[in-house]
Amino acid sequence: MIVGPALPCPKCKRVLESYSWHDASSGSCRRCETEFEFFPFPALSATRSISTPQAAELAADSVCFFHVENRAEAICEGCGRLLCPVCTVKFTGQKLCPSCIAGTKSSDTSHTVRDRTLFDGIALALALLPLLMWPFTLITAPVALGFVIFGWKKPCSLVRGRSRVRLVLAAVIAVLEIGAWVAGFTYLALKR
Amino acid sequence: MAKKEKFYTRLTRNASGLGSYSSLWLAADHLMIVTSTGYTENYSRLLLRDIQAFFVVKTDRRLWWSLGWGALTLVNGIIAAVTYNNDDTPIASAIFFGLGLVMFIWNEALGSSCRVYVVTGVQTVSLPSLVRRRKARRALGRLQPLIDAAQADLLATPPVITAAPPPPFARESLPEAVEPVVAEPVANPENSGAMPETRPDASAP
Repeated sequence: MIVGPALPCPKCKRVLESYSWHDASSGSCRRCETEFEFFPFPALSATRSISTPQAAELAADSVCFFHVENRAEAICEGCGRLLCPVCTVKFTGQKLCPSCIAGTKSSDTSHTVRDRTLFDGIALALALLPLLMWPFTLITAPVALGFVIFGWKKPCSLVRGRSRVRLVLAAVIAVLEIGAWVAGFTYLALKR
Repeated sequence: MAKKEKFYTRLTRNASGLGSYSSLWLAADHLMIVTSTGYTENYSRLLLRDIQAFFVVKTDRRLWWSLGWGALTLVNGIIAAVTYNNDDTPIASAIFFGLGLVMFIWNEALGSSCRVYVVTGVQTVSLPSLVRRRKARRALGRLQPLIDAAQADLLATPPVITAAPPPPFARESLPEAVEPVVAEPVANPENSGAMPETRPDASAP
């Protein structure tokens, strides 16, 4: 009988028993009866090598900015500080120090951002959807234009790039709607 | 001026959920799940070197969609036939019949359905944009070499696959001495050709 890794069942979250495995690449949970295929990678069973710092022995040795007792072995690609292996964090293909990592968390960079508000989507929806019940455009068109102005310099979608096509489209539609209302009110005023 | 290189490349197209849609994007060192409502986007990142395994679970999604579109096609087909026999022109029912038929065929053509889960050291995450096995196979086939490359520096000790004591209810039915078994990377007849082949380096001792 095959023993696979003691992972939780993806469906019921209970740890898979030894007899849940048919072979190395498939099995079924005995509790929720979910059949699954399994594709393991080295990280499942491999152990990572742990970097240990070397003590600075000579006066000429460069020392870590954060640990003066450790010899520096890397340079932070964010701020240029000398770092020991303890302080060197490999992050998005760069070697960074903890303070640079903390800095990227607070700033809105593409590497760490968790969510984005899509002002172009909101503006376009506010410009287009109320056309189904057009009297609402009296309110929504200026609001849509406001979102276009407010969101013009805001960061947009991380994956769609910095295209402002939707913002421009929303602005054009909103301006047309506002123009139509102005023309309508002007016509009514002149008619009286 | 040189065009700025894209940080993310699309791995899957949008798959719609309840009020949102999800897609999968690939960066140099991580995988990103993007869940969007059209007004906001949420990003979940999984470092390639942290991915331990994928689970692919078969689902009934295809069956339920087939039943839905099939029922729509059947009902509107009957209505269209009855209307036509009464010397009327069944315009609306013919349109819905055609729509149902096209969607039914499209759903069948997409192939069997599945759900894909990624296992890391701290969590098991569903990939909502991979709901069809063919698409999942393609995406996993593209991801496997990248994950292997990202984990090349790990000290490889392949998963232990050995004999285990049988479950209590089956203990009496098994022979007394059970030889240690090492799973060979033999293709499962039931799954053969369905997904990427068994990884020999991961299962061999």
